Amino acid sequence: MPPTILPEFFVLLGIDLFLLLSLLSCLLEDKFPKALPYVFQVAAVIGFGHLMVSREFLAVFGEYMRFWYNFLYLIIALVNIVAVNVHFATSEKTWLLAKAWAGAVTFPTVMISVFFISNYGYVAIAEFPYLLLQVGLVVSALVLGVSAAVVFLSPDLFSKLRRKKEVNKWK
Amino acid sequence: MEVKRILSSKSMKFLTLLLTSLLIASASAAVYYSLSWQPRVTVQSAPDVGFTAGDDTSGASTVNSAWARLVLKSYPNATLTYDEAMNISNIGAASHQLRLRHVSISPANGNGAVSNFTSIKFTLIAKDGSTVTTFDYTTTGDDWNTPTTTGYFWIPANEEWAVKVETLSPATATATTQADLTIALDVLE
Repeated sequence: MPPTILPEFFVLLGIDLFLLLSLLSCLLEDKFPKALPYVFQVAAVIGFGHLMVSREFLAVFGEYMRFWYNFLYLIIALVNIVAVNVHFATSEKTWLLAKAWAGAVTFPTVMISVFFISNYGYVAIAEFPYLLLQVGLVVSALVLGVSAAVVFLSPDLFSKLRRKKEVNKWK
Repeated sequence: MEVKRILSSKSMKFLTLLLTSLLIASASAAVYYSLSWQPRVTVQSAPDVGFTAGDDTSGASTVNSAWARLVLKSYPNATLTYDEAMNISNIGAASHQLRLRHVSISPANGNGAVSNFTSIKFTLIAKDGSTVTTFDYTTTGDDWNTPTTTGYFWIPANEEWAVKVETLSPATATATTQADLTIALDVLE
């Protein structure tokens, strides 16, 4: 049975993620280096070039190899999203932004990626995406559980932790 | 000076980025679209995996590479075994995955003729004599218990697997009653 989506779909998804990052980093330009939106744009253009090269060598590379080099590009895009999230979480006075970024960008993009990868894996009869889906669901449940615990049970937990960290820093 | 100020403003930068983003996203989507619509179909000489006649293939049976019609018998109260009713051969240079899938059976469930059969069992046997999988049809009263689709199994290159069939009817079975089964052999390239 042929897959309903091609492996190159992951590059397309990665390009869109880089473009999203570019626009968001432009909107939040005071939190990032000024060149960052353009760096993300260049990364998206590289993805476009990647797609063009992939098209030319479609018959040469097997499905397996195509999947992996396209998947790698998507992973790089996701790593950038997570890295921005970590940057917000570790910078001073951006904790609220880190939480918003996690909820509005990191979590949805990771889940969308997991969905498409598992969908591709199911049709292509690959074994590991099943595991990936399970891991994705477990991570989702953990994030949901931790978020609910923090929001409803102890809203000032992270504030306390941050204050403690700052106190330790001055010791 | 005023133009420089406008060009360096945040909204102008965002607008520029938005336009280039739209351009990149559209171009990428167009390339992907062209990728997904480039079919090329080439007729091959013959499929790698196909059916071949076995030592116990009856004269009334027809066995072709792509399809086979086996004419088998079933005796009341006695198990009839065809050790090599036919073979499944991989004549290609690469191994392939295959599975067995039930398609249809007649007489249908609820028909009294079904009770003239106890079981029709198919077994795939590898070259080394080991059982690859079984695919059993049994009956309960006037209903068939059809087998579920098997998992995929690798058949190595240039190897032949035997299809063993065992039939059994109850002691009260009526002679000349027939059952027609259709089984699909799905092969992955």
